[in-house]
Amino acid sequence: MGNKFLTGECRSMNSMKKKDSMWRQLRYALRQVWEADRLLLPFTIFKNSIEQIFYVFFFVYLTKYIFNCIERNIAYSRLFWFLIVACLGHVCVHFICGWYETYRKIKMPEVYRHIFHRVMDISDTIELSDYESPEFYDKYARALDRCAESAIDLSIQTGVYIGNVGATIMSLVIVLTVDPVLLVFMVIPMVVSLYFGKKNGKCNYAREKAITRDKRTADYVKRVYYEKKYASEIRLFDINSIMLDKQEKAVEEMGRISLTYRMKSAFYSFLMKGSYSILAGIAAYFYVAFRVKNGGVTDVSSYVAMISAMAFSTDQLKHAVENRIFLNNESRLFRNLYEFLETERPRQAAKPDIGEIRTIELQDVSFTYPGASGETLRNVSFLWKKGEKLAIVGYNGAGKTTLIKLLMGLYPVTSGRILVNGTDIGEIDGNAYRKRFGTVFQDLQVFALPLVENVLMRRPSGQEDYDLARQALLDAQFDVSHPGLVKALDTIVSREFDEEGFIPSGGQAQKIAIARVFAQQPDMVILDEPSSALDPLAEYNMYNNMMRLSKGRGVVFISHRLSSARMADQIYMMKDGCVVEHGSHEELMEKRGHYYEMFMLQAENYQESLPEELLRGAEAFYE
Amino acid sequence: MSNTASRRKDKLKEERITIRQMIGNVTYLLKYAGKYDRPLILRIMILNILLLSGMAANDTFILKMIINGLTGDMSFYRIMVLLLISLVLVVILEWMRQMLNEWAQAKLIPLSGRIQRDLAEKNSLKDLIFYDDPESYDTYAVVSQRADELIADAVTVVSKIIGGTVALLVASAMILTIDPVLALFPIAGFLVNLATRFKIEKINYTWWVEYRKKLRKADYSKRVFYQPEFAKECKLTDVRGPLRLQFDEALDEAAEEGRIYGPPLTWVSLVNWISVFTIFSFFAIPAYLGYLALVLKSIALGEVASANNAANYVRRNLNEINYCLVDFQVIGRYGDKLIKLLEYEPNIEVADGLTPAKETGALVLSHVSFRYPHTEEDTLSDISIEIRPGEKIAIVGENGAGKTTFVKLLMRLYDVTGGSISYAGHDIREYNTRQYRKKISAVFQDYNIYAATIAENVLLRKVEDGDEAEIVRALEKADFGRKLRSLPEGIRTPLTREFDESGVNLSGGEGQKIAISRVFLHNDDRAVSILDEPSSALDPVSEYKLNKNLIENAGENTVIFISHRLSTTRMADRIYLFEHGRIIEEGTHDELMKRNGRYREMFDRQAHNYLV
Repeated sequence: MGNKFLTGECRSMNSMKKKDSMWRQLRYALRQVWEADRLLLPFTIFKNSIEQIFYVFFFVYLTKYIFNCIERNIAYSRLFWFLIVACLGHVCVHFICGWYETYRKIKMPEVYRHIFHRVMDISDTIELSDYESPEFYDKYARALDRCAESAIDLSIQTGVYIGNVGATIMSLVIVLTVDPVLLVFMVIPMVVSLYFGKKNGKCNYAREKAITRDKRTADYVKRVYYEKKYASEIRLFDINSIMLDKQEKAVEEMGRISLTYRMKSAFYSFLMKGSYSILAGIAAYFYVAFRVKNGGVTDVSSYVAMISAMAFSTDQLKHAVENRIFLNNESRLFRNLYEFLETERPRQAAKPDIGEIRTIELQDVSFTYPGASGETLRNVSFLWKKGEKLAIVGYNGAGKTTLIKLLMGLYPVTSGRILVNGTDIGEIDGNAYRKRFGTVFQDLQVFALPLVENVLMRRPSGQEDYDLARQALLDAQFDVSHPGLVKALDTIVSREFDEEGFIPSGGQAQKIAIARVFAQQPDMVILDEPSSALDPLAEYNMYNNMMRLSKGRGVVFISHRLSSARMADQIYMMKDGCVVEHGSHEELMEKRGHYYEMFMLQAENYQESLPEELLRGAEAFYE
Repeated sequence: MSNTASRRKDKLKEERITIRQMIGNVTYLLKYAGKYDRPLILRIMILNILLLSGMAANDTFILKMIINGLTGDMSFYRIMVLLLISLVLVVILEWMRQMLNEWAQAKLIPLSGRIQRDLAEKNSLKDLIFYDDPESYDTYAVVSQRADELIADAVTVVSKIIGGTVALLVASAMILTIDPVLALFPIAGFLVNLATRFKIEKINYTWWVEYRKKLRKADYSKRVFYQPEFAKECKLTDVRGPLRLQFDEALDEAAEEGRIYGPPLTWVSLVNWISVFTIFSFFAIPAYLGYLALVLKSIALGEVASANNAANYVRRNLNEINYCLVDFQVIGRYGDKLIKLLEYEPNIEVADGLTPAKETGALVLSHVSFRYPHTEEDTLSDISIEIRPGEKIAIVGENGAGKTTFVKLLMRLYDVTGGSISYAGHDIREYNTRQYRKKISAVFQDYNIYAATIAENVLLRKVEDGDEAEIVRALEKADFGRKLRSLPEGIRTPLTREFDESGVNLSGGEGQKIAISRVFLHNDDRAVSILDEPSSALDPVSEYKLNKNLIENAGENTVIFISHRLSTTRMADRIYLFEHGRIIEEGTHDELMKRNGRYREMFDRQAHNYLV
């Protein structure tokens, strides 16, 4: 379950025959460009193929024409005017191609737009568990990072390829009219180079594979030295002795492995490329020399012209073969894009919108992460009713965050049931349900968007929206008059593409995320350690505001600081994936169990303001 | 429109590096590479030149003899001899070309590795302040990351350009033997090409920089839709709306750059194409050859054919040199920045001087202030603190009050911009930086876990025999013992999956414990321990154990705690409350509580909820 997306893609992979897959993927890539802009694709192909075809004219036909003129002593003016006309034609082509450069620069963003609007449209249907599978990242994220540039590259190379093939065929036809035997000298190297080209490809692939690990090591070491976050430690410790050693070993190994593979590669490349120069070059000369000297050839000039024609067409042929390899490799990316965009994802059957959330109940829920060996949650039961404030507390790694993800329906449970207003969570419209939550996660994200949009999560439509965002930020204890906010609420929260952007500290990022909840006014607020980076005053005020503003609604929060937990109506104490204690603060304190122990540990240093007898009780606890 | 035009001009001016500078930069890079492995560099360059000139000789001179033989009355036998010579030459040269190509690529890997290592070491000696200047950091981090490739590329490109030029000379010499005027066309073409090509690349580069800048925004906006770390927020909120709008706007801006830079580029390209290709090679050469053969009748068919061949050969070579020139420009441009980087003189990190005495000294800050480069305000101002040996000091305050900067000043990661810090009676700037830092150990809020074994992560240096017991002891004290026992390889367990599939990824709390254990290592030199928010990711039980252990461990050492949890600061001998980079209150816990000021207010707020 939950992996519908991945299994769907397997099916489509099998249905795609391997043989014609390259053309299919290429066609798919070109289709993206075509759909983005009707003129860009034909224009690209024209620009990149016309030049080669013109070359056939100049290097093969024209050369032959001139040589014939000289041999037959035809008037110079004819040759001259012929040249003028040909060159004017060429200039015209230049003009078209020149403007293509401008056109491409303007239209490239359209290809981006086309592809990613579709990605954005379908991102809704992708499950969270799909996102988290490493396969998803390897296959799709990488494909999506590069696909727009790649689609353009592919259309350019397709144009070049078409030009290469066209030019080869045209020059072959011309060669054929002079002497069909000459073709032999081109077909043989073609076959030879295809064969060794494949071998070479395999060898290169094997080399890449053999050095992957060492390369990753070397890249990692590089990163350590150039990322700012490592800078202080590098200066304070002798990290050089660990890292540079690793790098040296990796690099030496990489050089050694590469050399072995590359020497093999050199041999294949020699056979591949040498076969052209040897067969199409030298061997053809032997034949021509033989014909000219021994056979009664009437027009020597044509034969001489054919020698340069063959050099030209082998060059084209060589490029065609290289381009084919490029097209093949590059279009592989589009199989992943195809799968991503075109796989029929099981449309969620329209499920009832649950409306306002009144109760959430977990019955005996257990959960194991896909691929994990042990259960993260075991037999957890839990009930929340509208207006209640629940706290989840516990040790590091007790499964608190997982519990929250489950009750929001982000993962399907492994066993047990989750009921929302009495209905099973699988039977309701999940997206509509989740929209009713306001959540702050531990690993929260702020976006490189203006601050106001980071709070509202939409574009503000007027002054009221700015006021709403400002108030939410103030409630979250965010200092809106911070000097870093150069453009006030319109400051972009990131320096990624704006030098005047604002880089929030950990605490400020948390406050922004909390402000989102204040601005949204959801049915249910979920806070996963929202205050870990806040200072005590900010934390205190934030909690106070949160409790005040969400009166009558629900709050579920995770906290390590039990002083905050006691603001809750009910506290769930978790340990090793189980709920070990629950009840109100007073009840749990009376129980003298885990909660009591934790609370007293934290309270130790505040004891001054505690009554005498409790002080003594605490002392007893520590002995 | 005029506005955008002037903007364009400004941009072009900014990026202007003269050709001479570029050549100078590339030469510098070659010399730099030569310092590491001169024989390799020389071998690659000489072989390339030999190879390309050999090929040029075959493609022009020998070819000319063959063609003349075919059209003239040379005997079949002599033509065969020529062809055989050519065959042998082609086989050898092709073989050499492939070998050289692959061999050089493999040999350059360890060389690049060595260069990268040296740069890394050099980089680690740069003053930390370097990183706080966003401009130098952005540019130079990128540049030095690419330095190894860059230097390898410089070797390849330069040898190709020299080889290509030699080949051109060979071909031109051949053309000269037929008719000197004929040689003018390729030369004219070459010159026009050189002039316009640089211009074209300059415009293209400027466009590309601007385009990428705009596209970065679009790239970011779309990445959010499929990157796992954003998935939760995307599913739970409507953030996709504004992101999509931002994406569209960024693309419109990117297209605008094309409208600005496209037209000038097109015009210069047209000049280049029409003159270099159409006029100087397609038109002029055949027309002139035809004129010689048909009107003047000074040359025969064989010479026309070989001249034509040679001209084509020249054109092909020009094309290749073109590509190399583009690379050359890129390298020249990057090289400029790299050279600046290589010549950066660090100040703090290499500072030599006194070695602090063995026993713990007093740390005295008097009127210290500090301002980050390119900022308007002091991050710290007028801080005066005296810390006697063995004292336990707490620094408390809100986020952004300057606590972490304070720590960095104490460790001399930055130098103060006003006032002074002294240790054991000497200004810390009088000490040898390395020796001074040995006296202090620190755990930072933003600690890192490295792709290395647990033991190496604790020591942050090479593990030697006999270190094991000490590491385990330190980890136990940092409350990592339970986790350590669950790992079959113990302290030899590799951390992170960066490049080791069997690596272990630690949770935030576990990672923090590893970082904390660094303070528990036995260390004779240490006199001062600094703990910057050491327990932020820990649960209360771990936090409690940690605090107890830290105090016990410190013994006679000076300890400086940075925290915003006041419960951990009560055990301090003295507490300093920072606000907006200044000390606003100081004293013992009791004194501060009595004072009824800001500290009291904070403490009460926190304590309030711990009343049972």
